[in-house]
Formats: sequence, structure tokens, C-alpha cells
Amino acid sequence: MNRKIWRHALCIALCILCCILACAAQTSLLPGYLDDTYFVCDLLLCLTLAFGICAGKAYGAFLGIFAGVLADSTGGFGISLLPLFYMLCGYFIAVCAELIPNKKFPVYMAFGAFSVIGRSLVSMIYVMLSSGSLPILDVIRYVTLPILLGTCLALPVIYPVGLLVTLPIKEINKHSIDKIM
Amino acid sequence: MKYIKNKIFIVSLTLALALVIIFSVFYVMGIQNLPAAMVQAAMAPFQNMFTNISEALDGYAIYFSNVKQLYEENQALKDRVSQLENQLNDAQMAVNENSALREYLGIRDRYEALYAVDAQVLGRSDGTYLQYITLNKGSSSGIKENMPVITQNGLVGYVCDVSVNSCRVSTILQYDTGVGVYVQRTGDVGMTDCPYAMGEQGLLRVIYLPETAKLQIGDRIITGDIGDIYPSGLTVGHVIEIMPDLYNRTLTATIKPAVDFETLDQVYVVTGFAEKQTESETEAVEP
Repeated sequence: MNRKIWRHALCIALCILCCILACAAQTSLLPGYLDDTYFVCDLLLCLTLAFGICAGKAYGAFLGIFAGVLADSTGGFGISLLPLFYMLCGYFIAVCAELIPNKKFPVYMAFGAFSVIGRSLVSMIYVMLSSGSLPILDVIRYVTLPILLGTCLALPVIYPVGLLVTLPIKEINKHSIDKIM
Repeated sequence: MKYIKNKIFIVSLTLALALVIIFSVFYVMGIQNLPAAMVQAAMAPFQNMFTNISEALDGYAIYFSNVKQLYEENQALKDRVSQLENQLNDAQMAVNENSALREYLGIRDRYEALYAVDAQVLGRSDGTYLQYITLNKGSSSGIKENMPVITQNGLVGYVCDVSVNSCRVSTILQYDTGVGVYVQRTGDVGMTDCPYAMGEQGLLRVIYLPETAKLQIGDRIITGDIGDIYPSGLTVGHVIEIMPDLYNRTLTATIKPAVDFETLDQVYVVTGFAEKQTESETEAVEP
């Protein structure tokens, strides 16, 4: 029992550290290199999805909230929708993984693509709230597509990070699934 | 349905909604978002670390791309070093430093007192349209909200959020950062505005310029006396295109900012300023 708690604590600490590093990279490192390209990467969304699919609903939901708070505090707009959005993504990707067992990576990629579309819509809402109008073509060209393309490309790169970080609780999850079956 | 009635879902949804409401209330009421400021303060060291990594990587990239050139230059320099003393290097450094200080003092000359804190850019907003930058100085260095941020080239924006060791700056390329400006040559007054399509290209525009204004390409746009945030006389940019607005009977000028936001690294946060009074103003004040 004690060992289980320690493993969970270790896994949570690693996940939080990953989120912090991803957020710092997203705001300090990547903009310098992606400025000349068309892409904008949402690493925190990729991480939330990876944690959700590798570690389950609770991890996906609560780390999603944490990632949303980080994203909105450091690079956000003021009115904060990302904690709610990331939480829903993290939770429902874990639900999908439960419904379609043994197909984690395809589920991750498919759900990831839908989530990125959702993330683009959140950005559109931010634009609408900040300007009071919605110049739809400009928003699609300069906001929606860069996030969509950049984040979709980052999804398969981040997936192994999720697998690695949730290794401490892999055995625990396996046993719990065995028990249920 | 069972996934929506799940205890984890209900708890996390409640928590997320509470955070959304709290953050939004702070924003709508226009008061400082303390939780966000705390997160920013905690994130600042990590952002600093990644900024340093980025600079180091850039340095290595330049080094390896110019190896041959550097080798030849090195040989030439070795010959010269044998003839020159360390004194020359010191003198060169002093010249460089003097030049940078002169540029900085160029700003100060216009003001009786201009107090500024120098700061380094730690991070930028991750989207292409929301133009915020994060600096490595916060309230511990005397920085407060609404303080103007400048470089030796011109205006960058104003401080919109402050934490203990970092602050966030809303740049003039941000949609709602309207700055009262005037054309230095003609004295016509207008206001800056930055639609998304222009912000993406690193441009902004001056709106509400009178129809009769005799603008020219290359005219310098500087901050005006309207509002309390910005000191007047700071360069905002230069006119690159002039268009009439048929509906409002006004002119709109597209301007290229004086500050290069893509390579922005070092800035000054103006913590206080008092403009010099002209002779006529001084006479008017005296009884």
C-alpha cells in the first residue's frame, strides 16, 4: 500500500515537472525557433492527452487543470478557459482508452486531432472576446491553422514522454485491470 | 452516462469551473490576478533557464556555421594581438559601452528625470496574434502595472501583470493596446490600432488622422500627451502606407514599429518620468 502511494507520488511529481518544463519551453524556447515558420505548438495539450491515455482519468483530468492554469497564466489572455478545456480533454481521452482497449496510440492520435480542433476554437473565442468581433478568415489563417498543424506534429513526439513518466504506476494499473477482469 | 456521473469527473469539473470563474472575475473587474501572478513567479526561473539554453544554442549554431571564417579571422587576429596591448581591448570595450549608454541617454535627454529598470525578455506568448512578452524583473525591482516599456529604438508596450520576479508586457502589437500618437512633422494626432492581419506581419496602423493631414511616407510617429501611461515623444514607428477612410473622412496610416519585436531581447521598464518644461511653459508657470 505504502509502495503504491510512493509510486503515485513519484509519478505525479514527474508529471508536474514535465508540465512546468513544457510550459517554459512553449513560452521561452519554441517561439524563437518557430517565429519564422507557420507553426504554433501547444505542448501542454499534448502532455495532458499523453498523461490521460497512459495513466487514466484522474491523472488526465487533474493534470489537465494544472496544465490549463500554467498555460493561461504565462501565455494566456485573461479570461481563462484552458483549465476547463484541458481537463475535459484529459478525462475523455482516458475514457476513450477504456472503451477501446489495446489501441492506445491510434486513440491518442485520433482524439488528439479532435482536441487540437477544440483548442483552435478556444483561441477563436479568445480573439472574439479581446476584439469584440471575429474576423473569421484572419483567425483561421493566423490562429487556427498554425495551432492545428504545429500541435498535430508535436503529438507523436510527446507520446513517449507520457509513457516514460507514467512508468512508475504502470504495474499498479496492470494489476487493477487484472482484478477488474 | 456513467462516465459523466463519475466522482473524478464531477470533482475535476467543479474545480476547473471554479478556476475559470475566479480567473475571469479577476480579469473582468480589472484587478490583479494573484493566482496567475504566483504561477508566473514560480515559472520565471524555468523560463530564465530555457532562455539561457536558447541563447547558448544560438551561440553554438553561429559558431559552427562560421568555423572557417572564424579560423581565418583568428589567424589574422593572432598576428595583430602580438602588436596590440590589452589596453586597446579595454578601450574598445569602453567605446562599445559608451555607444550603448549614449543611445540610452538619448532617451533620457528629453526628460528632466527618467528612471528605468533594465530587463531581459524571458518569454513570449505562444500564439501568433496575442502579443505578450514576459520580462525577468517584477515587483521586487519596483515594477508596477501600467509602467511603459521601451528600448533605445522606441516604444515596446506597457506592463499588464506583475509578479515578484517577473512581469508581463502587453506590446503595441496587441489588439487592444491603443496608444495616443501624433505625427512628428505635421503634429496631426491619431491613435494606434493593430488588426490581426497586420500584427502577424509585425505592423500596426494609426487611425483617426484628420483628412487634411499632409502625411508622407517615412514620417515619424511618436507618443502624444494623451493619457498617463506613456511619456510623450517616444518613437512608435514610421509611416509606410497612407490610406483614406471613406466612411469616417479620416486617414489611416500603416506604420512599421521602430522596435523589432522578433529580435527583442533587452528592454527598459520606465518606473518614473517627468518631462522637461519648455521655456514658454516655465514662463507661464512663473507668476
